[in-house]
Amino acid sequence: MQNTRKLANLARLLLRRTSATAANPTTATSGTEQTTHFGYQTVKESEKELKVHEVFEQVAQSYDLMNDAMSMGIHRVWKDIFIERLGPEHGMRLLDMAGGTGDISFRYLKYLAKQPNTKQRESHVTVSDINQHMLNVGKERARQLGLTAERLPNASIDWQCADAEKLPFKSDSFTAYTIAFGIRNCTHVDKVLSEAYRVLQPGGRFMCLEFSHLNNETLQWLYDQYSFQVIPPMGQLLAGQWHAYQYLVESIRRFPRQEQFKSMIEQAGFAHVTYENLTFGVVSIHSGFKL
Amino acid sequence: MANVRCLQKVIRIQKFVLPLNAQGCWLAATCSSGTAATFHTLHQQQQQELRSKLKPACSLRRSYAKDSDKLEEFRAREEQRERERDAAEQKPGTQSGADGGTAGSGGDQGKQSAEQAAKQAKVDGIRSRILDAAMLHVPQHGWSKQAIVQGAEECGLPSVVHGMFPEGGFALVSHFNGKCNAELVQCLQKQTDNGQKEVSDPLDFLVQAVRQRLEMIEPYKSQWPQAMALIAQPQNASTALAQVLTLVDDICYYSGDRSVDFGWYTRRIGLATIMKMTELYMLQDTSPGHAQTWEFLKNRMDEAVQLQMALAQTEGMTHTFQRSFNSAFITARNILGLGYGRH
Repeated sequence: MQNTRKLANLARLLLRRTSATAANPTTATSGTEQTTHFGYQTVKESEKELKVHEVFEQVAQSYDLMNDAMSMGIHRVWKDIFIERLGPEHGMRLLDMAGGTGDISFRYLKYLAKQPNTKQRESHVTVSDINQHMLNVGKERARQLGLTAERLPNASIDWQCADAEKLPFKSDSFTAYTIAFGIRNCTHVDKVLSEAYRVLQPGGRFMCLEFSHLNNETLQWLYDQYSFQVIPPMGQLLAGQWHAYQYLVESIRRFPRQEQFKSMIEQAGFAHVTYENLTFGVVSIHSGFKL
Repeated sequence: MANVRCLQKVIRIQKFVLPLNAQGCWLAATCSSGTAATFHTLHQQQQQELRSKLKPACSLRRSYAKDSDKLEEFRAREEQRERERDAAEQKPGTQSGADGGTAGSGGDQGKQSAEQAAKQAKVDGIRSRILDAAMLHVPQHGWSKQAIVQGAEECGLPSVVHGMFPEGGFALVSHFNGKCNAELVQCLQKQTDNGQKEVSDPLDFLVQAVRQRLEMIEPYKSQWPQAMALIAQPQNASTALAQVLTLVDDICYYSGDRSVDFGWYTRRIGLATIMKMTELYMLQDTSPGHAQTWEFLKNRMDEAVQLQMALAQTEGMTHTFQRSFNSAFITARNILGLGYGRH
């Protein structure tokens, strides 16, 4: 049953791809197309999206378990700090991109529940992901945690499958945009950043939580050893996926350094761009404002 | 002999490392203490060499010892330069207009940094707009993130911009302090014609300046304890300290203080202490118009002046004490035979 659904999804994706290439015959031939990185491999840009999709299809079910195992539970602290830095207030409209299983959105709603809502404002969060599988896992978790429309008096949550490079939302429709551990999987990071700029209101905030680079050589070496020797075997044992986690670990190393990513965010038009390293630079929170 | 050769090497190294007048002093000190004995055993030629090396250093040392006339000239020159720099800063608009026309490879770099400066100026403008609007909400919400959020919403920006102020309530406090300090300095500049006019009674001037500054806190008096607590936090200590010291320096400068001795430090630190004490007193003062606070301030100032006079009188006495202590030490050393060859 699951296999046929997987086949159907794959077929749908391939159909979309062939129709796109039929419309632009110049990109059909492999010689003229751009290549990009997929972990340490080099692939065509059109293929990367497909391959990333495959990776997340495979890991969706055990995503949260693997997160806990790989980071020894520290990822929860990182995400808590991330939401603290955002400091949500009632009346905020958040777009949680690559939000998949809903970690950031649930923390956002919990934080709001602790704040007094004197002016009775309505808050909203749209959880968006390119992979419907991840969104389904998230919806199930929300139901288990009891975060449904009845239980949340002044907040609403919406689930939307969308491509970060081509968002289906109107311009100036969100006050905050977060993307946690998702931007390194995108093919064109600059397009993601400019789409983020488009959908944010003036004064809106862009925040990105992502694995990044350590400044200390020794710690970087230790981190490399852990990433390449421990994580893929752990993935094989716990989720039955070696190559998916090999890709994840390699993609971390291909992502630009903190300063370079900061200038990419500034290029997209954001002002007052800052970054904060957590755990010596293993993850980094970048923040920018649309002013 | 080896000693002398070492000494010659050291002299050569010192010439490159130390500034000349300090080198002269050091050489004089070493010669007087360490090499007195070995100097006598030197060959005539080497003695001449050493003397020739010492002479220029000593004469340079003498030339750096200024007369008071030269000091006045130096000060006048520096103040003139500062005034020219201020005047140059006054006309950035005309200068950047002229530069905008020239475009070249060098101009590109200049344009980039000009763009960055413009962006930074825009961000700073928005920050001060938000903080100014937030000041109106301080009586209700205190110096906190809530006040900043209210201020932001009044400016038409979403509440999420409070993220531009990660230090929270302290951003408001330092903004308020900065504004008050700037206002006070402007007032003092007008009073003393930009530091040119002679101040008749420096003590009274200081008292009036401190009183004026503390009166600016009055509208926020009930929330001021919270502000003082925020200032006392260690993560905010550096900014707070810099603001206080700049303020105290400005007040002392406009009161006519042009000292170049250690009194420069003692006067400013003393004034900062008195200001903080009076601020604390004011928080619990319920008298009409804070009359008791101003009396407290006057008393502290008088005490400080008395203390300074007492210290100046005993300065002669402390010198005598120092010398007698030194002589006791030298006698003890001679008795024990450790000071052979020294005088």
